Amino acid sequence: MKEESSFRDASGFVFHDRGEVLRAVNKVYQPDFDFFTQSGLYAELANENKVVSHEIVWQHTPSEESIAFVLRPYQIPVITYPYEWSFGQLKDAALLTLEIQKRSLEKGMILKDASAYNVQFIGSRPVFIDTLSFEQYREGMPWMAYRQFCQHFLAPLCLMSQHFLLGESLLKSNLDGIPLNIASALLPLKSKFRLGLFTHLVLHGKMIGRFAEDRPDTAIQKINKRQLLALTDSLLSTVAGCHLKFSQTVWSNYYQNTNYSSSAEEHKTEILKQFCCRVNPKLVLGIGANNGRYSRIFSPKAYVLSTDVDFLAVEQNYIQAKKENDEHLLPLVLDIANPSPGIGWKNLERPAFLQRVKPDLIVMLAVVHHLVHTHHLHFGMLAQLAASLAPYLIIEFVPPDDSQIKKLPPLPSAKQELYSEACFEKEFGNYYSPLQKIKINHSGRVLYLFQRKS
Amino acid sequence: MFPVGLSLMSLLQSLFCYVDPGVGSIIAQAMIAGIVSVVYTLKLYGQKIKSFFSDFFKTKKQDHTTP
Repeated sequence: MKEESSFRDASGFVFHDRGEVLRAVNKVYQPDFDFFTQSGLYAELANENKVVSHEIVWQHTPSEESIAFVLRPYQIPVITYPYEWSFGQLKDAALLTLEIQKRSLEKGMILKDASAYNVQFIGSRPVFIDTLSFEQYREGMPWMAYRQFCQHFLAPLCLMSQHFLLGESLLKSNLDGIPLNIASALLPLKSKFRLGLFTHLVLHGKMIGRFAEDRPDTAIQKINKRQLLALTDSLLSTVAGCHLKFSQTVWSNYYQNTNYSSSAEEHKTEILKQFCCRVNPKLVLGIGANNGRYSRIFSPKAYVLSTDVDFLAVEQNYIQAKKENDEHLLPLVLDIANPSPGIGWKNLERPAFLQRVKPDLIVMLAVVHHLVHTHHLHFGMLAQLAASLAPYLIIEFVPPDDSQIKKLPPLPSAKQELYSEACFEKEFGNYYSPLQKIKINHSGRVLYLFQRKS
Repeated sequence: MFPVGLSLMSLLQSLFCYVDPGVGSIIAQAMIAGIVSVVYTLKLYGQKIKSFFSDFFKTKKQDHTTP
């Protein structure tokens, strides 16, 4: 079955066969593909884990005459999108793309596209997945993907550094990146005095607008390789110079402000280890995972999506995962009350988060009370969602007299009696059978391990 | 400043390029690539001159300190 997003590039396409993701390479692209391998560029980048490695699998070749052969790339555990990444993840994806562009130029090739969707994460490691993005460089040709790079990476990074949610939501609503004139209009004046931002974003945006009506047969300037390398270096230093302007958010110091004693924390960790051994999951979805402290209990054995709504907590999680070279833990920005929708062609080109992720275990620790109090969700709704995604659920019930609940907006009186341990067990019991229930020592909180009813 | 010799249409037709950069982006790229390559060349020469003088003074200092 052909991938819904794989229709733009004539070089080949991605398809699914027997649970695997495969990439067909069309005959018209073969000279460029051969150059990519024979120049040594592929081997270099794949050995350094910068480009996804692949093998040629002839036996999968569909009977289409236009296809030269089929590649089986290393299978990425979960596909994620730029609007689900933290600032640091998008920045690292941008730097990777530019490094690959630079090294391609040095080997006589060039990237024909620079979409942020060409990068995926294996845990904390970004990897370039589109092996058909490389084409042979011809002297004088400009970088056709320059505008795309600026729209997909530079504009969102600049906006995110000032207003994270603005950059993130504009990426979500603009499939081909944030238009440069919009980004330029939203940036504060002082940031435009940086040479890199002024040229690649402000001036670039103005020129696009100025020549928007010109016909594509207009004569254009040749750009030599030295200039292209200088352009890439300039983009590299501009991206490297983008930094988050925030040091604190509501949740970024969460673990300094909890009401757990150290013995309660130790006990909670022990219970989670015990639950993990019992389920032995392969893919875990952590919801409200903050900086990933408890996600790390699962990540040595399973691949963990450690998600939270707070972008700074996710940033901290990513920095920590990078330090540890963790390839089993992927931090993501996710609001479970408003997860990423499907966008693009038929709303399937970039599918919704809940369609892409099929975990075998969901972990919701100290998050349900927030969803009930802040988003007015009911236990039954949460149970239904969890059961539609995963066969196992670990969930923490926070009792109504907990000191953390007193900090939240109060529930309307008609809903207060529904927030009880009995109601919680009844509503989750409609979808799940309890395997274990353990009260955390020195705390009124309870941890449950549920298994979905068949 | 830059030789004119390519047509955007020819690039779009002859390559697998499906990304339409628009005329304005290509013109901007040529201008910006020109500017940044001059800046980089100046920086490179600046570094060379700086390292020449720092080496020169280092050698001189060593000459004075060597007994």
